[in-house]
Amino acid sequence: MKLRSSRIVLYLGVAATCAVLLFPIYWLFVTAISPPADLRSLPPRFWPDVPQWQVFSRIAEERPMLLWLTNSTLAALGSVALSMTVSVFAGYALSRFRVRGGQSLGLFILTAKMLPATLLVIPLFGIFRSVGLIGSLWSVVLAHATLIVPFTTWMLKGYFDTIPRELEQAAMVDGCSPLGALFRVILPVATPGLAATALYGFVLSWSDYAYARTFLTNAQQSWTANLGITTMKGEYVTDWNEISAAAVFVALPILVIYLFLERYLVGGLTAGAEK
Amino acid sequence: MSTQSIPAQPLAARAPGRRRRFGLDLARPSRRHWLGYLLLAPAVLLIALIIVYPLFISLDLSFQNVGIARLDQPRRPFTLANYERLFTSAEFWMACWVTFKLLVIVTGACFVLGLATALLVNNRFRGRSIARLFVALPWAVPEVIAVVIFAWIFDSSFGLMNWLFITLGLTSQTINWFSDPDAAFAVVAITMIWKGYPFVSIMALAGLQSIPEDFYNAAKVDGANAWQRFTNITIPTLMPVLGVTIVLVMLWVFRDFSIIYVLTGGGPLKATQTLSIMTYEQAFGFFKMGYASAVGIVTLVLCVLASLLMVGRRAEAMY
Amino acid sequence: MAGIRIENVRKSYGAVTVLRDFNLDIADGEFVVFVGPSGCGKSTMLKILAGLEEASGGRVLIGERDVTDLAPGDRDIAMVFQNYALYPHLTVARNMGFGLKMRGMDRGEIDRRVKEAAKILAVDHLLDRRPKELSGGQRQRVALGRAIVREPQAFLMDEPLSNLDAKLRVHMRAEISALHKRLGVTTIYVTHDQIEAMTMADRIVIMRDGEIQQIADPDTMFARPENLFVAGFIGSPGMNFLLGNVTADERGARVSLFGQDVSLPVPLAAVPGIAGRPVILGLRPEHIGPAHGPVSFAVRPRLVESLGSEKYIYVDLPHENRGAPADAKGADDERRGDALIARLVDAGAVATGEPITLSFDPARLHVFDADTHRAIR
Repeated sequence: MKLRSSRIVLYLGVAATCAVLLFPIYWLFVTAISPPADLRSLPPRFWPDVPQWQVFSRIAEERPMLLWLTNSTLAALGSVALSMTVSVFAGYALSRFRVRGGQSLGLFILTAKMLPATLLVIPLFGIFRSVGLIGSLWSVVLAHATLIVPFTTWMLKGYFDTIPRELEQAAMVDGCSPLGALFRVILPVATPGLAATALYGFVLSWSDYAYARTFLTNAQQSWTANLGITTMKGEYVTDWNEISAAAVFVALPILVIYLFLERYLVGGLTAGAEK
Repeated sequence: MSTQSIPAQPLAARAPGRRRRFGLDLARPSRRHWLGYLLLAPAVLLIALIIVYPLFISLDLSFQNVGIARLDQPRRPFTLANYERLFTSAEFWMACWVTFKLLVIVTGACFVLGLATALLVNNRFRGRSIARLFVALPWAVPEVIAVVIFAWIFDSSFGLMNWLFITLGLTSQTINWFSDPDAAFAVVAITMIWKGYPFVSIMALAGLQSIPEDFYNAAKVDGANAWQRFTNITIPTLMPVLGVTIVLVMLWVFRDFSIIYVLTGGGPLKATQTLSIMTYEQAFGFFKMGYASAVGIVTLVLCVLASLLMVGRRAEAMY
Repeated sequence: MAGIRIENVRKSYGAVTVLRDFNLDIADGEFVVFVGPSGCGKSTMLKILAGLEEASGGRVLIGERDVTDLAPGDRDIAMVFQNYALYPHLTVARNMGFGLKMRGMDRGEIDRRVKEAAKILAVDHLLDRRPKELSGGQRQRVALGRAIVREPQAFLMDEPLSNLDAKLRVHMRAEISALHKRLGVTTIYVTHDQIEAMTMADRIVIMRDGEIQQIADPDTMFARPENLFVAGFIGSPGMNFLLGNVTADERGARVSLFGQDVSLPVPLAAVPGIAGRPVILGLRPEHIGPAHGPVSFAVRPRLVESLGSEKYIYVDLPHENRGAPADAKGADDERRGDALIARLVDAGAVATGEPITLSFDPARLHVFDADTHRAIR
């Protein structure tokens, strides 16, 4: 009997906690599908009488939502591709080779995670301005790499550390070159780790605002989703249903990745810390 | 030693297609370490280009009186003016104070909320895997989106929070959250806590799951009650992970830009202007990039010092 | 197939030397076991042979061909690893055929060889599975199969049995030996287990701290250990070591053991000036008998362990015989320097604390210099 009631308390506790913590997400969604009149009346309605589903198609048509999403996707894919290419090799080297200066390089990459974006953005602005990258998506691709490379290099090093060295030794005895062993054996075995790392990089890039705001503000055709959304927030009047609908568009990819691939994402997140 | 001295062998016939590797054969034992350098080269190049070189530039900028950074113009004369001005400016010390307040409040709250949620869903119950997923869901909401949500909830005219406060009788008239310094600070803190606590839960959950069940069984046999098990097993075993997590959360608060900038822009009356926001405002609001770089460099130094203080010599463990 | 010659191979990491001048000639088709405690350099030597580590000096020849700085894949050797190192993403068949594929062999021939090897190792029903679906013993067989399909000049095995449970280990031991007899391929086998070494080897190389202690066939290794370390390492339970002071008279060198005056099986001329100096005497537990013999002594056992077929009798050493150096003890022997073990077969009832007479033949004694630890013969 005591067990039963503590069970109920537990369920209630979990339900209440989730309800409170997730309410903002729910509210965003409800706001998006509420008619504007509902949003200008008190008390608030927690579910609209007539859900305005067409808001999503409307902002997709009337606002450059799809362009923003495409830009965000391109920037994320570009920066992830760039970062993964260098960090797969670097992570593998840090995991397997005793290279002179390798350790200090590793430590430097670690500290690079501490760099405030607001500091780095100033010189990057100067550099990109002089090479004419301001306003181009390439600027954020490169800038996002500064966020992603430190993470992915160490995440991948962690994954490679968990793969026994004997695997590539066996491959080399079997006739592979060291690079052949990496590509034919180690990378296939590390696929889940590679996927997790790439996803994590994608999330980092997708969530950036600072670099996009600095490099792309004057080039509307290059706006990323996060940057675009902030322009919908007016000084005096904001169409809360439209901006919320746009926000749903932007949040959805990451939420979906999280809900379905949480294991991979979190695996990457906690991999380094548990050692 | 040289390959030329290999006599023709029957083996060559026995092992067909033994491949001759072209160029430098990195599979040779004596050359294998070259590969390490080769593999690191692209990363070193990229990092040098987009992190190290820019860092030097900003360090350089911080010692010049520069408005808008241009690389194609000659260097301005060396000056300490930026730093002198910085340390004598009330704005800087105000930003330090705001950063510190935010650091303590947000980190503390994230820690408590994150640990509590982790412990809650670490219980055994049906659907706990779903609950675990949901409890950390805000982690997957981009910061700008979190700002949209909270800006609306704290809207001064039709925001949910005003309605709630009035309904509960906490206030008689609507609060204009974003024009009152204390209120704006509170909104920023709440948004950051909501965005930041899931990271602590995720890390704490991972830590909790790595504690062997046997520890608890042994403690039960020894007659420890739930609280004793918590303080004697859970907390000590989680401590290393939690310590690292706290530092990471701190660093995030230290450096965060998007939430504060989009939510309040550092206002009102600079009540929410942290060092990060100040750096950005000086650089891109007032176009004083030399001065801004000085603020940024000081921020970086504080970041490094703070994390070193927190983790001490175990600095490497935090990654 | 080919013989292997290792000439003056050294290995050091900075100031740490893990392998000193290693010299060994291995005949074609020979089964050689490197054995020694962990950290003795045996695995390092094997990796140098495989080309997985670079030697700091010296040469390695396989079948007269200098392979010292040749890529592992160009040495025509196959290796079996302790953790099997099967490729987790490939099926058993493709695991076994991987090395052949890398050498550009055509698919049909690979198939044929893999099937043949799989049949020999009785894993032909597992060819489509992945390594993680196999039991430990099956993985071990697949790892062996991957080595034999290559038909290499030599097999290198790095503790291949140490991840198996005790029973399976004994079984696979016999199977590897049988495989070696059948294929006749030169094999170098690394282990820390002296029983594996004794049962499988044509010749054993005992190593410690990067140095070869002795190279000999198993029987010689057991009967004529070169030094204290080898004597203690080989045999289970390990050899007993007693300290004694040598006295010399006209009948030869003598020493007092268990209060008995025992004549040493060493001519006095072998070591001039031995008289008056301490020596360490080794006596194998199985060379102690349960009744009167050439040298008999009465004792009360401290402990009696019965294994059914045989009994281990633990006896306190007299004070004068205690104090043999600690490093003389075998790898799996936790004994302190104050006890002697007798291994008695069909001894009848022996009880702890009850008097019993034991005996040994002084001719069975091994004599070691107390300073250099080398055997005196």
